Amino acid sequence: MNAILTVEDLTVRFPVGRNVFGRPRGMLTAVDHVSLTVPRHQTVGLVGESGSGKSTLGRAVLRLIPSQSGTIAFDGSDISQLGSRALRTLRPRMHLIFQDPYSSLDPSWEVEDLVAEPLGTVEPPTNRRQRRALVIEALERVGLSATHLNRYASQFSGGQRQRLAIARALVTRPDLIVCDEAVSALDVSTRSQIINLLADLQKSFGMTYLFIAHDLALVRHISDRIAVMYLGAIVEEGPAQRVYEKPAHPYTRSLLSAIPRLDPAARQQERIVLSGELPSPLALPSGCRFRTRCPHAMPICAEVTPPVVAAPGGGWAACHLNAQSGSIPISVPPDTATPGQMPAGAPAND
Amino acid sequence: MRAADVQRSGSGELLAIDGLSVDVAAEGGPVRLVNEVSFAVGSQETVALVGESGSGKSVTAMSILGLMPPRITTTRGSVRFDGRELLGLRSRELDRVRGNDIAMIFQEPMTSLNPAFTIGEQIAEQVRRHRGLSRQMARERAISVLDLVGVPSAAQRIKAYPHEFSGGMRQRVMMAMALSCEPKLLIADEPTTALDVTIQALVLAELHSLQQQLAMSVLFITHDLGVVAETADRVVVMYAGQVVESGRTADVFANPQHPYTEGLLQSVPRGDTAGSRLWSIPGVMPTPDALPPGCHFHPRCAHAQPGVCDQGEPQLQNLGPGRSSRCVRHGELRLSGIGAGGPVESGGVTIADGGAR
Repeated sequence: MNAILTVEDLTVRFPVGRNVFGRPRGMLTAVDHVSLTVPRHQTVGLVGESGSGKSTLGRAVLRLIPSQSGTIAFDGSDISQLGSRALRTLRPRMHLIFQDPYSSLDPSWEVEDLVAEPLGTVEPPTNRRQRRALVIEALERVGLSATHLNRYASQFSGGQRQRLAIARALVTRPDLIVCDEAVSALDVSTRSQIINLLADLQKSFGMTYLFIAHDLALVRHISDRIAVMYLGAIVEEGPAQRVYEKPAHPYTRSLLSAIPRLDPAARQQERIVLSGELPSPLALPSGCRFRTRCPHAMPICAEVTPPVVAAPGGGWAACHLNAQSGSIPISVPPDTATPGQMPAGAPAND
Repeated sequence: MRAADVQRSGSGELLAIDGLSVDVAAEGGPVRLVNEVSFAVGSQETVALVGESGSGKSVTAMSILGLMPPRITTTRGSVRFDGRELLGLRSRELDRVRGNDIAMIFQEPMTSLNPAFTIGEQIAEQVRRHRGLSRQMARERAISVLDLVGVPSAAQRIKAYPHEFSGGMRQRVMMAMALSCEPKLLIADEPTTALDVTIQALVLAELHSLQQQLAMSVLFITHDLGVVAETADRVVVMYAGQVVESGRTADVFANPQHPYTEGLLQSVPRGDTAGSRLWSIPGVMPTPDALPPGCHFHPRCAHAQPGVCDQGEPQLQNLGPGRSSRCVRHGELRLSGIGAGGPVESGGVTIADGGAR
């Protein structure tokens, strides 16, 4: 099995609003029949605006929040139905790094205890001396040292806290790390240090990253493949270079054109401006969920869910435009040998 | 005040900051947050004040309006707006300038909008106070500015409360409030940092067209160099409380004259950095109470020379009209910039390997 994580047809719903009897008024579909493959030792970038469901998907695949349907295959076996005891033994193999290093680390804990905490679920159990050795090794891996063992998280700067969070994730040698906007809160110079650190660690330990971020240029830099999420569904997926240079979905194109260019000379370039904001996920548009903001929307977009169409250069996009322009709609990936080309089940409205 | 510090923009200067220093009380004595900062904003010009957290950019912006963090002990220098000295004005006199001639918008609109009043009431109150308009006229004014910043069906939306708006819409409401008195200068402190890129693009485009319509000057405070490249005519780069480089945006980006600016520009991931190591500035910004001797940037600088950069604090050197650098080695270094004008292809990648930790 070449993929560390294979998500199929995953749906996550939340109850929203409660009436006087405590019953939910409605269900919000945050992740809607999503399929995604994360190849081993690689980085898959997950991008989208706030409210796209990318963080929910990241937490659902780690079984931190429950999913309603679909399967989550971790290292070949479905973990979507595992009970809490079975999950506990799995925890050391997967980890989550959050955006905000200020609220994700308990300020009243010493560094040694913070970094050692994930070791509590490791089998066979470690003794105090082994734990300390592992903690020091993890600290040194992220550019800190044994001199930091007895300090508190509150004594560290933002960049150093994120290093601590990474050391914490690293200490159990996990197979999969979900980085949820892990560098978004950092300053420019600190951010590039952490990005390089993540890349170095992947090289040394062969970890797999699911890298969730809103910054497409950053995701392009760090990822092997990119999945673009809109209103709970993946609308495009493919090799990072192809998605970045030849986006096949109008939403990806507009996301890319919205990135401010670093070159002042490129300022005049045409920008695809999206009208309006993300529609409410409680009232998804019929047909294509992007059609209400899409500059190319056609009558068919309101009626038929767009087919998943293979994109030239790898991956796929779900858009009627591509289906019309002569490309072949796919139900089975044309090149199953390449990992990560699983098409998302065309998001059916239920 | 040193003449070399003053950046002349050519056209009439609306805002001229000269030798501004801000000290804050600390346990071991006063600490300098902003050190002899000088720059100017011309009429209808957009100037970006760039730096990372701790660079002093926000304190500089706040002190223009006399909005000071607590425990400030002294403020020295001069802040002249439209020919009038603002430093030392009493708060009642400053109130006439604030919100009227100079308006400010912030990163998080909810901190400046009152959740207990409708946005119509809040905008109307502002124009009634500053412009003395009648209740009816103030209401009409509120509708027209909301229209101006692109809030749909403004006449209905004035009855809504701030929480009923999305993040991007709240930012527009705050812009409407700031623009309701047609200020000559808008100070925008990270106004799009909390927004999605798609919404950021809309807000920046809106801001640009409003600036044209209202003939307004904008002082943009940001850490996002992409936003600077998109919006600013000139850029002022701050590090550890000082201006380290300034100039026209196109010049500074193509041919940076300070290694910190070079580092900032090269640290940003781009499409063509994929698969390679990203340039990074090692270490962290020093705190204002523990500045390194010599050039404050030298411990993190890829080009620092022992015996030169750690000796004596470098002065800001004038490199031509509106162009300056605080690097003593700027003449001998060939720093990497962005785009066609800069030697990015030749220098950027190789130096990135050497300069990165």
